[in-house]
Amino acid sequence: MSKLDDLILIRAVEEFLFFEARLLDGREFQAWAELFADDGIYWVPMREGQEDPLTEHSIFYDDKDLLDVRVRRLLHPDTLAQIPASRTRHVVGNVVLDETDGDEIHARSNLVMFEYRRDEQRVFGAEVQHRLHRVEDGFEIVLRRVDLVNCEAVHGYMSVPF
Amino acid sequence: MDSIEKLVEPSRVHRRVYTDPDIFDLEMDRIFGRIWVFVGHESQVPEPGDWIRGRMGTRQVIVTRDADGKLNVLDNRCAHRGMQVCLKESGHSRTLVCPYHGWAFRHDGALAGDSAPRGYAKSADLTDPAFALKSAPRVESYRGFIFASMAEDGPGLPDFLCDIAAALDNVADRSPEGEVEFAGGVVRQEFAGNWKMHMENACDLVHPGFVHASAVDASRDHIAAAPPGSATQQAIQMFTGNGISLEEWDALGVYGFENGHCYMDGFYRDGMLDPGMADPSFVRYREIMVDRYGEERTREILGRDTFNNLIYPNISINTRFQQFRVIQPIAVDRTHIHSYSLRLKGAPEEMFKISVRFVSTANSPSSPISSDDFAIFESVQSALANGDREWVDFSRRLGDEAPMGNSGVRDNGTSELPMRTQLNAWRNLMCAS
Repeated sequence: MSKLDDLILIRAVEEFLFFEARLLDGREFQAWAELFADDGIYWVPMREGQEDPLTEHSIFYDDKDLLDVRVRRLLHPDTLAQIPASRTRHVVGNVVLDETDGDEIHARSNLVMFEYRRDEQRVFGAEVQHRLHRVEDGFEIVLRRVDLVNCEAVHGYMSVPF
Repeated sequence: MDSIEKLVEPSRVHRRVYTDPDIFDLEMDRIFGRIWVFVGHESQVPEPGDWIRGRMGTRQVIVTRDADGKLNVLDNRCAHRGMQVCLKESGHSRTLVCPYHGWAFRHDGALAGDSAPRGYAKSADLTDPAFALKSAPRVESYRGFIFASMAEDGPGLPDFLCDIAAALDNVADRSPEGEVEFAGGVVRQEFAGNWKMHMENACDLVHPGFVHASAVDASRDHIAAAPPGSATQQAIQMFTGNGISLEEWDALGVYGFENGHCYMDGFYRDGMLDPGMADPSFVRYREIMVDRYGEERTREILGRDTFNNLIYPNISINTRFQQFRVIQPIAVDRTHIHSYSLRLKGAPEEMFKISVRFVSTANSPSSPISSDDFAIFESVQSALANGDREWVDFSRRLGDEAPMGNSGVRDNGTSELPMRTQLNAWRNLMCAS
């Protein structure tokens, strides 16, 4: 690929990550979940450098079915953990492409998420890894891995995906 | 404090029990500072020299295995100036060396002879307990689960556990080798509420239909939208399991015992969550169990269908899904939950993976179930902290409980018997001189 192709690709990936962030901040959770491939995974490990989500606990480890249940619940009017609802702002930066392997693209970015509810603001920082597949009208998410800076901390309950 | 006894009546409890910092301090002394408290599991300290950090209420301890293989529970506070001797969560070392001034202690807490601090009067006796890490006078292990008591004497661990020992037996018996291991790391969560709320909620069978309605509806809607014939994974079945009717909850039993222990019957009835579990890895596991124990004993072990088993004051065990939770009081209005998966030694690894999935889904900070429970606890704490309404009501089905053959009583699932059992134990302990 030429340098120009590289720039076009990284710009397209950035656009996609920004779009994802806008969906989450706009509470368009179902549209966000639909960005995942049928075998896509949303994973927030509980330990720095964690390799296995099946023999070690995770903060989130959702396949697309679980993600669907999760976002349906977030939008349910009686979800107590969302009364009042969280207001969030995802800030995405430092986007780099690690490698491209045919149709699969590995992107890394830094994420800051502000979350406000019940008179309190929480701030989360993370490195996010995306494994994306090219599809007709853009990308689909094969893996979205969010490594929180404080993944091992004692956490209060979490509702809105990072 | 002479009014403590008046704070718990047969059918109601004063709000100060959840909100008063002085009462919390007294709990740390009279409950967590006296009775048997879980501090760790033998699989976490398998070899001499191994140690882990733990808690007995707000007391920070180190659980060690000494050169003789004996278990010790020591204060994680240097005898010298109060530094935490162990900063990491676990380790293995010949001695425990305080990072502040280098005082070194043996795994039984005594000052190590070869590190005698210099500069003390010649008459100073370095074997004086004042120079040792304070150790819990009683440490006992039951099926690998280590408990300690800060009281010099009192009932032994089996007597204290009494009928709830069956829960620890059952969780260990589910291993073909009769042993479990703590594995997969610990999940730590917190909520801004009193520790007792979590214990009282764990066998409260009226709340799921209300508090977990959103998880039930979301999973039912998901199943309805899925293509016909789609398999429904365990976690989603589990969410829908909370949606049984009040009549169905009432048909389950809740049980209360001396010393505040409780448990509830299991309620999963569909597919893989059924006690018979048709999943291929479970079928293979069952074959291994039958090889080891025989058909009849296997049926007995796997047939003990309970959900939450509560060991007073702060343990919640789900024996069927190998979940072990410790409710750690931090302050009157702050509580940590430590959740563990138990690996059944000798069972297919897939059984452990099911347990890890269960914890990551149901007992992690992102859980669609426990998030709503924690939201409730925080809301209740906030409301109880203020106002002039003094009492919290626990009268549901009061007097309807029936004695069982053992030390316990049973009632229908919607009874508030489990909370009354805990609060009665609380009052007895708090009023003991």
